[in-house]
Amino acid sequence: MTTDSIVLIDIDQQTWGTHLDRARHWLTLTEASQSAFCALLDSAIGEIGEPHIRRYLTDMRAQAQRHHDCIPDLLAAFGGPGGQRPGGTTMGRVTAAGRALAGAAQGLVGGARGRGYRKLRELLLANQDAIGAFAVTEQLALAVGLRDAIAITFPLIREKTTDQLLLQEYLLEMAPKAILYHADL
Amino acid sequence: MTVTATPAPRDVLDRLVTPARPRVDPADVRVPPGFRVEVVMCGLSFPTGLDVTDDDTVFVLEGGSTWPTRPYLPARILRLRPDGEVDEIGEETLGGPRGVAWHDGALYVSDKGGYTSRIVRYDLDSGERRVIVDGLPDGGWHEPGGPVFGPDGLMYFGQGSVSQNGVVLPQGFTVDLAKHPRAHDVPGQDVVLTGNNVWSRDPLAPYPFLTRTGPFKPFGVPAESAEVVRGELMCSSGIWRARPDGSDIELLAWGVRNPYGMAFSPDGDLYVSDNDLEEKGERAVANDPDRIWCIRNARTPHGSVTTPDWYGFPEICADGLPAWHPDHLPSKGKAAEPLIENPPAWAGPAAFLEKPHSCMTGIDFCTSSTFGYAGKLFACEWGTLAPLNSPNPEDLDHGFKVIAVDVQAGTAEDFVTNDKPGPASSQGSGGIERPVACKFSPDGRSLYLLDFGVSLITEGYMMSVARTGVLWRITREAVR
Repeated sequence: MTTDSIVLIDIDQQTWGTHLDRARHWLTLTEASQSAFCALLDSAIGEIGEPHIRRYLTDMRAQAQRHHDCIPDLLAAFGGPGGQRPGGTTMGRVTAAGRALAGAAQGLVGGARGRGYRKLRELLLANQDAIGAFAVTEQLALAVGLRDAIAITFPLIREKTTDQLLLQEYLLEMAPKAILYHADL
Repeated sequence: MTVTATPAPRDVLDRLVTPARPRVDPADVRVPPGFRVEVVMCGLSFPTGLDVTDDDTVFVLEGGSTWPTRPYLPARILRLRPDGEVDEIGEETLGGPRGVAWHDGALYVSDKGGYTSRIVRYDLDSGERRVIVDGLPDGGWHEPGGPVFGPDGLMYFGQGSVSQNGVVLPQGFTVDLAKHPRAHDVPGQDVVLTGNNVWSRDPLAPYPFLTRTGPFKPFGVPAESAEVVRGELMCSSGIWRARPDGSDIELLAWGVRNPYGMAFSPDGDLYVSDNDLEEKGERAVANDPDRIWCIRNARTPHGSVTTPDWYGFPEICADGLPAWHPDHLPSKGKAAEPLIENPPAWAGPAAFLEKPHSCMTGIDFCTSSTFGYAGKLFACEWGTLAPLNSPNPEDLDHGFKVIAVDVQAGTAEDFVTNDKPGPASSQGSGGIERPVACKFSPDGRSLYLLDFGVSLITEGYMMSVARTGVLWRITREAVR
């Protein structure tokens, strides 16, 4: 082949732009997932009387907000406008409301009557969803060569994974009281 | 999946769209005087292997993923024609292609993925894809090697170990244990076990209790003292040969930890590159050199090997000392204990020893005096995984270059380097990142060098960044 040109594989401006655009769409979902988790945490903290769990969830809420606040930086790393959000917050609130409704129905079917316990279960599902969303974002960052985005997502996912372990633990700890005794938290 | 290949002027190398590797600059690559460095392709995702045909067509493998197996991008076999056109020969399955050889109008590709590795043959005329060898034990850490074709017309290939250091442990990525819970090493000949097991935590358990694992066993299964493990043709850490259709497979050697690079010397000897035991985890080994072996049994007639040679894994380091020798005691992790009672005779010494964690990968012999290094073995050094796999600061910049090895003398000289040791991204240069494979052009004037691209490595993780791979070409300039 000639020596005056090179071949770009999947990194021409058009392909690159298309892939970044698709990745930014995913960030809308990421924001929606994290927003839903934050909204459900707000709701849960108001419902749960058990002081230790309430304290843990209050700390978790502060961390969740910090994670939520990283999303504009992620958007910028993926080539979006600086200081802006992808636009998933409203979708997140709607998602949270839907999860709450579904959680109430499922809780009744499962025999757990307490609102606080039901909220814990909703949080477990919502955080798992948000972990997945951020983890996919990280894979997209690796796939398009964005080191700055990975520096944001890696510690964030680790913290959220620890939160998930904690949420599952509370759910398991409180299960007998909630299901067998129909007691709330 | 169609590849988007776009010709571009060379000045685009100053402003590539990939932030992890925004600039590639041949002027930042150091080679001996009289050689010119050029970029041929840019934007490759996790490239792993290449071969060049008689008419200077270049086949390049995009590995899909590497270590760990995400993100997963299209595991493509690309063809770069002499006129600069690029097309896709095929796309391999989850896991991805590692090595490629063009032979007699067909393309032979070694593939990783699932519990076994395999060799796939593509007929370039009909497009037919056929698996011709399967069942090489994998599902673990290391790679298939080759294939390469010998002067006898036979196909030679390898398969690395399943475990990192002789026992399947959670020292890689936890998800590996979830994906392949039954994966384990397989010896190439009968071995008697000492009964030494390795204690480790089980990260998959709700309570991460200590569990025992023995050699040649899945994680969590202990070995017994005096237990006999039968050798198998399809072992791990093996080197084989077969006819080009995959028939009459013969095991030549085992105990080669990661035979990623394979090449025949001009006088017909088979050499393989191999990587050292690692200094981490519950069976940790320090200061094991990287190495190049000469596989003696490749000189024997096909079908005549009754007992394969043993090159030491998992017991003997490349310097001939046992893994538990004081010179190899780790400062990070737990020291090794003997696993095999009365092991086979060691087939060493190695033809060449390199610094630990240089991570030697693809190799090729220079056969032409036009290039100026006739008879030398060119070996890519992907570069260290330290601090992930070694706590020693001196290991941090090993590798990241191509060396020219005199396999008779056991010496080497640097051929391709950056200004300073280490990957270009660590020094803000446009030079080489991680050389993974090399191949000489048919006219002998040029060396094609495949550069894997950027990998981010810390004490706690390793992540590789797609679209940062580069195909370089290094050409001997005409003497005026």
